[in-house]
Amino acid sequence: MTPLEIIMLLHGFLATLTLMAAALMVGVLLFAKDLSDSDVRMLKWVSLGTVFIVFLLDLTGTYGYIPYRLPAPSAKATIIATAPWAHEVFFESMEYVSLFGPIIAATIAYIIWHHGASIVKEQAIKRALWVLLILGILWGLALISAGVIPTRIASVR
Amino acid sequence: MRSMSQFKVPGSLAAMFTSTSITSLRIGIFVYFRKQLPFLEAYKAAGTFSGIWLYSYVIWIVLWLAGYVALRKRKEVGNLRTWMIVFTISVIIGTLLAEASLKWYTLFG
Repeated sequence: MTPLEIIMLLHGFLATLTLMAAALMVGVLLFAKDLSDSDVRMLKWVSLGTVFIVFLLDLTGTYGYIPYRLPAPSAKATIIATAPWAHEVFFESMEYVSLFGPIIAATIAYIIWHHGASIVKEQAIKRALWVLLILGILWGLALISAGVIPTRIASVR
Repeated sequence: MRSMSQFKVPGSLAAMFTSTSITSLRIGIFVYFRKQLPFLEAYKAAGTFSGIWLYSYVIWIVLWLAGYVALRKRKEVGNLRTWMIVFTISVIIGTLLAEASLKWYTLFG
C-alpha cells in the first residue's frame, strides 16, 4: 500500500467515526433522562474528539486532493475527460461543503461543554442540539454520497 | 421547561454563534468567488481550496476569540431560537453559494 492509500483509508475510517459519534449523541438525546458526571465528562470528550476528527478528515482529504489535481494525466484530468460531472459536481461538492463540518461539530461540542447535563434536562438546549445534529448528519451523509461517486462509481482504474 | 425562544443566550455562546455564522457565509462567498480571488491559492499544490480552508478557519478562530472577549460578561444576547435560525440559515446560504459555483450543467450533457 502506498502512503496515499493508507491516508485515504484513514480518511474513510474517520468519516465512519464521525457518524458513530453522531449516532451516540442521537442515542443520548433520545433515551437519556439524566446524565451522571462521568457521562457528561465522556460526552464532552467525545464531542471535542469529533471536532478534532472532522478537522483531520478535512486535512486527510486535502492530502489526497494534491496528487488528484496534478497536471494531466492526473486522476482529475482523466475524470474530467471521461465523466466531467463526477469531478465538477460531486468531487467539488465534497471538497468545498466539507468546510462546514468543523463548524457544525464545534458548535455542538461548545453547547455540550457549556451546558453539561442540561443538554437532556433543558428542553430548549435539547431541541437546539437536535437541529444541529440533524443538520450535521444530513450534511455528512450528503458528503459521503458525493464522495462515493468520484472515488467508486466514476473512479480512475 | 423553557422553549428555545424563552432561553436567553449568554454572551460566550452568542460569540460562538456569531463567529460560526459569519464563517459559514464567508466560506460560501470564498468558494463562489474563488476564481477571482488569487490570494486564496495559499498552497499552490492544493489550489484555492488551501486558502479557503486556511483563511476561513483562521478568521473564524480570531472572530470567536474577539467575540468571546467582547461578550463574555453579557448575561443575555438574544434568545436561542433566533441564534439557531441565524446559524442554520447561514450554513444553508453558505452551502448554496458553494454549490451555485459548480458546473451543474455537466450532469446533463
